[in-house]
Amino acid sequence: MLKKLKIGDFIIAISVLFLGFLPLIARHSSTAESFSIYLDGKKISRLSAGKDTTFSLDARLGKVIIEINDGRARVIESSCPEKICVRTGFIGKVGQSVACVPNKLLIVAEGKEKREKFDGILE
Amino acid sequence: MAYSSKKLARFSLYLAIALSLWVLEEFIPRPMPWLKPGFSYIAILLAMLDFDIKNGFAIGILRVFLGSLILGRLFSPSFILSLSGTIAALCVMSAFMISRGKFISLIGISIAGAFTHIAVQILVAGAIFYRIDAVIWLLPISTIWAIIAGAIVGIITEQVAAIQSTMKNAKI
Amino acid sequence: MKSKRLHIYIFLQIVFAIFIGCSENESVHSRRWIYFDTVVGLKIYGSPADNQSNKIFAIAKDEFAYWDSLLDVYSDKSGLFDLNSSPAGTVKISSDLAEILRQSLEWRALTDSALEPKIGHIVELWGIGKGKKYIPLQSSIDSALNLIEKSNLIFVDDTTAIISGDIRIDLGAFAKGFVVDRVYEKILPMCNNNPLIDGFLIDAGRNIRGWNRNRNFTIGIANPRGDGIVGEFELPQSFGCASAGDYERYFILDGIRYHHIFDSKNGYPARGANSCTVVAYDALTADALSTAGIILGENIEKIIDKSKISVILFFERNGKLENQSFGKVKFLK
Repeated sequence: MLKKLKIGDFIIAISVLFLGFLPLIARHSSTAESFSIYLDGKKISRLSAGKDTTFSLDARLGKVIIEINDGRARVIESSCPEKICVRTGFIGKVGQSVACVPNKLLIVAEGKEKREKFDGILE
Repeated sequence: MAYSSKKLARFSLYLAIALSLWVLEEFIPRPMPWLKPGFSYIAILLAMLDFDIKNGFAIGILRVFLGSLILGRLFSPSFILSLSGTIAALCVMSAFMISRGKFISLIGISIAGAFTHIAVQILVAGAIFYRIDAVIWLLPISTIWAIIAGAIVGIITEQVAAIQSTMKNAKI
Repeated sequence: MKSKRLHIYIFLQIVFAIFIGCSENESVHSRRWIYFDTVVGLKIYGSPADNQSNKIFAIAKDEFAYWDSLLDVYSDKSGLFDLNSSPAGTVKISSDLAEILRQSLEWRALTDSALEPKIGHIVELWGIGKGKKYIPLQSSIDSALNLIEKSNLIFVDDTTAIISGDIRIDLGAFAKGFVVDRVYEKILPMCNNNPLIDGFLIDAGRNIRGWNRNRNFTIGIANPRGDGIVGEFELPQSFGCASAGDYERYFILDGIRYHHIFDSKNGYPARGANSCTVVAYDALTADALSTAGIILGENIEKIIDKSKISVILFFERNGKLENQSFGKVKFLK
């Protein structure tokens, strides 16, 4: 049976697989417009991705230094023992996040808030 | 289209097979209602081989109309989905059918058709009844289903076509 | 044969394209005008013929224009201006103006004078939004409050009222909601009877009411301190919603914000809440209660029926925005 399979069949199967999973790939490809920073589950700040900045904040275990550079964000220095957040490196696509569990710190890359999805807005 | 009685009998047979497989499939239990095996495409592909692409189209579209009539859902939303999926799949399959032979077998054609059918159904469903972004996540899992079901349909069709051609040769 | 086959292909491609083309998202026709010193607008959902939607737009525009000319306190041609400048005694009032006046007096009773339609003297004194940026002398505020206390408006029949004292009616807390309801009632039968129209949404500057045969509308609440959206909710079928707050017309002096919604108890800008959004069964109720929320703050809970009315209050505390909500509608997602 398998000898009936031709090279084109494989090409078709692979391209179909690619097309079918395209929405999953495309979903995470838009660049972040802003970064929301959560501490202890509360949103403490929302920073524009367009402005480069480096700042430190006092988390549960001590100082955490966060950098925003060229539309991406990362944790440079953390008071946590394992430094997983530092090793995560830069995030810059919508939906990506850096978490520092010991410090209960979370940085989430977010897209633009869409006003178009509303039928009306109470200004 | 003037049919000889022999040809008409064969056409009717293909249509009957496509129609009954399509209707019977409706009663097979499955995880999600739109994930059907698509066995009726065996008859459609065989008709395309035996006659030409035009007759394959006729059988594919007629089976949706007659089948929906039998199931009592003519012009209902699921009818629109079936019809749009079928027309798109027939277009894609017939385009590949022309280049069938050295590089593409019926298995690849069937996979392409199965994927087109299911993808267009999802897109049309999203566009007409829901929102595209609400249904697009169904596409990846449906794609895997389409490749498996499409391959099975392709293999069966390839086998039947082989038997048919040996029978034809034997007659001569 | 081959060209014939090609024709069939092209035909089917076209059929297929039509299938996809027909299935676009719902279409919206939208118009905007300037009335009540703000942008008012009407959106019609669905696919009515141009002359049908234009007719509805024209009716809505006329209705807005009519009420704007009747209720504009600053135009000497308006019915409200005439009323405010009439001497004490018996006056004849047009039935339309009488209707909104009666409603506003009912709200005054309902909110124990928190919503005071006679607040005009205080509004004129502060002149917020009319370019004035100062805090009036306490003696001026006291005399304005005294004038409010001594003036009165009592209806003797549908279109006759007795005025006592120097009255200054200000319908800022009622006018837009009231007019949204009038427009809503005018165009609802036309839209309901036209199967090509799926729904409509009236938006008159922080006052929204809509109707849709297929779905509920999603409304966003803009941040009263800065950009973005701080809340969103689904507007129940045929309901109205409104927002009021200290961010609409205000000035800041020595770090304190002075805004256009006044507390009739002391004559100063109200400090109950910084922003208030109300969802209610009509737009007038939502408009009146959203203003009442700024004055009463959390105490608004006592005067609302929480099974029919939902309220969210926003407070700015230590630079952060906090909120409190009552009622069935979920304001945050």
